[in-house]
Amino acid sequence: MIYYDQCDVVLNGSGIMAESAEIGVSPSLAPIYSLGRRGVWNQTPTAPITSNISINYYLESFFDHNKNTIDFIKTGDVTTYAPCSTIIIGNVTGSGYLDSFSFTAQPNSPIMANASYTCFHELIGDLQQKNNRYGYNKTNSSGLAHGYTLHVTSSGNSQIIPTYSLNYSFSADWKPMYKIGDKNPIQINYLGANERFVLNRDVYTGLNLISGVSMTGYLNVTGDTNLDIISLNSVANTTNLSTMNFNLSGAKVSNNLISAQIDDFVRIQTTAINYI
Amino acid sequence: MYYTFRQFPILINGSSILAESCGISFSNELNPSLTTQKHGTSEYVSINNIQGSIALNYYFTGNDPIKTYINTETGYISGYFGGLFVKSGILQSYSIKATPVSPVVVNTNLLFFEQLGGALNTSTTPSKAIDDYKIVNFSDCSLTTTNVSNVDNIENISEFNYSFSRDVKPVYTINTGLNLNNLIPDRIYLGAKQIETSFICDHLTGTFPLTGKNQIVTLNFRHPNLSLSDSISCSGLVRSKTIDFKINDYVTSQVSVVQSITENPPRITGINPNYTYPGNFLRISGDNLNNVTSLYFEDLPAENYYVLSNTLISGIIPTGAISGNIKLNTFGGYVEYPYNLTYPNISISNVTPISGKYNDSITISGLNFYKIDKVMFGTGINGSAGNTTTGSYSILDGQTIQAIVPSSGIWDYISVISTQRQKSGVSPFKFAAYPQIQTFTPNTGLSGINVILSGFNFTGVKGVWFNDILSPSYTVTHNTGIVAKVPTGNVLGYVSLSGVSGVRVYSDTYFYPEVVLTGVYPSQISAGQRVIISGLNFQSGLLYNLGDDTFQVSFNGAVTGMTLWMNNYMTGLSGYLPSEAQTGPVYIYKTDGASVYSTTGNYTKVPGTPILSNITPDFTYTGQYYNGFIEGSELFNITAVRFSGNDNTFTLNKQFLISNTYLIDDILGYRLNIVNYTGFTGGLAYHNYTGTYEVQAIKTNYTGVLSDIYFTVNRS
Repeated sequence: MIYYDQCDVVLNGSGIMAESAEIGVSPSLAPIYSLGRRGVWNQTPTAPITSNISINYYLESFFDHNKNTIDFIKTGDVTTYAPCSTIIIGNVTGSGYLDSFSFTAQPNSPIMANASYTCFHELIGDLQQKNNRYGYNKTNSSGLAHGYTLHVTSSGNSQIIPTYSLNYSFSADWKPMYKIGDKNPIQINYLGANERFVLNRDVYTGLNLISGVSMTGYLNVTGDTNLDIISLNSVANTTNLSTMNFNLSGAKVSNNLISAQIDDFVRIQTTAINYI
Repeated sequence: MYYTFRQFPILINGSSILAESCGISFSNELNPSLTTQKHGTSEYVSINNIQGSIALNYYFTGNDPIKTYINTETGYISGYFGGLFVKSGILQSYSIKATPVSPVVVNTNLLFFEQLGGALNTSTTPSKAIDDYKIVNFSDCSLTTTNVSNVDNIENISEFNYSFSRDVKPVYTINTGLNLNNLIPDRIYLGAKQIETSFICDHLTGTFPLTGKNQIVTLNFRHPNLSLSDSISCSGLVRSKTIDFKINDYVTSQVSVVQSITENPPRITGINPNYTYPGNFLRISGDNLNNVTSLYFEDLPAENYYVLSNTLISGIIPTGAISGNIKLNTFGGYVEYPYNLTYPNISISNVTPISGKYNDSITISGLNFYKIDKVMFGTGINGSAGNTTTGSYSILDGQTIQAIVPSSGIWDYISVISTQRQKSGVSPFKFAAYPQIQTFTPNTGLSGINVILSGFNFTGVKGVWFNDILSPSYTVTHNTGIVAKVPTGNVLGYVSLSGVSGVRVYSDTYFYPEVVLTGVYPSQISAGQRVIISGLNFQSGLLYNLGDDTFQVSFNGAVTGMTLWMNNYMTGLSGYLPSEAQTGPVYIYKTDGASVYSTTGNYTKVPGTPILSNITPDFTYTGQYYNGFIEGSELFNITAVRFSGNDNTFTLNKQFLISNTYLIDDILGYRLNIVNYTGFTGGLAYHNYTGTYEVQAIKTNYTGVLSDIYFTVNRS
């Protein structure tokens, strides 16, 4: 039996502070019935085997591999290289393609990220206890991303129009290509991705353009479109800070929702989507 | 009551199959029997027999009782369908759609022209399905495409469709049949049949020949636990191609190949003889050998082949073949069969030319130049080290090779080697690889220095020559480098190498020896005196020519031209000491006229009597500054200038010392410049002081006198 504190959760060689991790392996089997017989002859594969991995973890602002993957998808050469991550959970290892990445920032709470991957090749390894090869919490929690230190937009302008919660999500489409005579894909290519920002504020800005309103200039008057997550230690000092940056430019507002409820102030939820 | 599928097993030709679905349909052809004056009728007349079809889909497990009927024109398929039976089914269509990682499902359609026999047996207790059938999955199969022209082989097929169809027509004659309920056709006409395949791949070229391109597509069925040897194949012409571009999808190419003839798959049972030579006939025995589309001996097509019968082919083994597999394609499929060859020896009869330098092309003539993978300049056999061509070689045909002389060639035999055939041949004589000088450094210097030569094929060099004078010592450091000592003598000229077989090669540029000055004779010389400079390598090509075959020499900066001179003992330059020359070194100028050779000589200038030839101006006025110059020779080291003489009224005997400040500005060997001399004063005020005076230049032990030209002082 392997207890939770003995289970490595490693992403591209770095330990991550996961609250939960799951691996699901799904061969596509179909029963074979035939005329004149009861029961099944066999269960036969009808589609390639795939695995899904999902991890919930504390986001650290100094570095995040998934953020790295997102940045590469946005700016790197994805036509010749499809970035995949090596994920180890309890020594079971897979090469995963990032399907989705999301986090929600609330006041007074650390930011938890959720990432899910699809593996098109078989997983290897068997379940084993951790071997202390990987390091965790390298900044001793001072690099944690927290609701205290997330700024919408950048840290200089975030108080012009305050944000009460933020949800960020990224999703990508990958397409494997299989050929006759092979169980594994011969190649995997990136097809497309998008980012979605959902912000809760108390200021309403109308949407009056049929062609859509860009996030640039929508959030505050200065045109700042940066979303900064500064390391938690910035509340105490100004040295050894790290910042994770998301850029909202290119996103267009897709929805505005004004919500009024008893015992609460009127909130405006703005959703913007950026297609990559 | 409705019954489930479990109770109705299906057998084809008495064997169970894993049927996924089965549909039996039959219809008649009834026409209403209309008569005149009536708009309708309740009577119908049959105008044709009942025709039935069975759509049967089943999983492929390695035993396919229906597939053989694709190529067979005889025999009927019997089927048992849960109690109903058909005795004379005919295969009308057969198709498979292959997608990755999915089970192989065959879709067939059978026709029958009889009454279905039997009745559905609803009382059968279905037996349990047990795991004794291995269902073949497409991930275990292999799909190969072969272009008969051996180009554009296609891989990475993501989808494959195969379909066979044929025309089936029953033929009835009048009075056919036994009774109205059992009309059997007299015969069944099997008409045109066709196999069509299409596949999706990543072959994106747009080439599409008008007459089509031969393509063979073969799906080989495999199962990890079964020893299957079954396949379906389509051998025909590419009929269409579609290249698709879609957002969020891969760019794909869909190719369609159609074959309009089907045969049973070929089979090879034996060959005769079992061992033979390339170029000979080989008889291939087997079955279904008609309609050969290609015959290969490993990777080479047969030079020719003859289909003698359905069971015998005779093919000519290509002369360049190696042992391997016979690869036979017919319209029915593909088969391989091993064969073995005995190889003839490789022989070299001639090499033309027999010598050459690096990068030269030579022709090697001989026999059996097949599967050659090495041409070595140097035997390299029997354990001795040899060289290989670093350039390319071309096999022009079985008797001719064109090879490029490598930079590492040596004087040795040439060998031609076939590793695959384990054969080699050696030239009857040695090939002389010419040495070749690319550069040498330094390109100038004294005798006895080392010069480094760079080039090719230096192994076997017999001598190094400087202007055809043999170097006293040289060392071949490696095949591309030589160090040679410059000999003494007239080494101005090309550097050359002598090699084996009397080969002599020359450099592109000269070696320029240093001119060496060994002495100046006499060592103490007066201006205008003849002087000889002796040394080594005094040659017109090494000296700066002033014209008229005089060569520039500097005597301590005083430049003059001297002529070449030699006697039995030495060479040198001969000339006269320029009058302005002073004691100091002697320099010989190089051909550029600006630089000089490093060795110098020294001489001592012997002072001589000054000779005064002119004074300008030759007069002055009393009380005024005199500025002028005195010309002549041997004017160095003048210590004083004297103006002396008298006339009837005035005596002047003035000598002024040479001063660097204001009296004498320049003392050259041929001129004294007098500046601001004010010595011409005095005399009686009322007399005419005009008169001529003698001018003297005085130096130690010598006095020079201006003759024939007088200096006058006039009253100002």
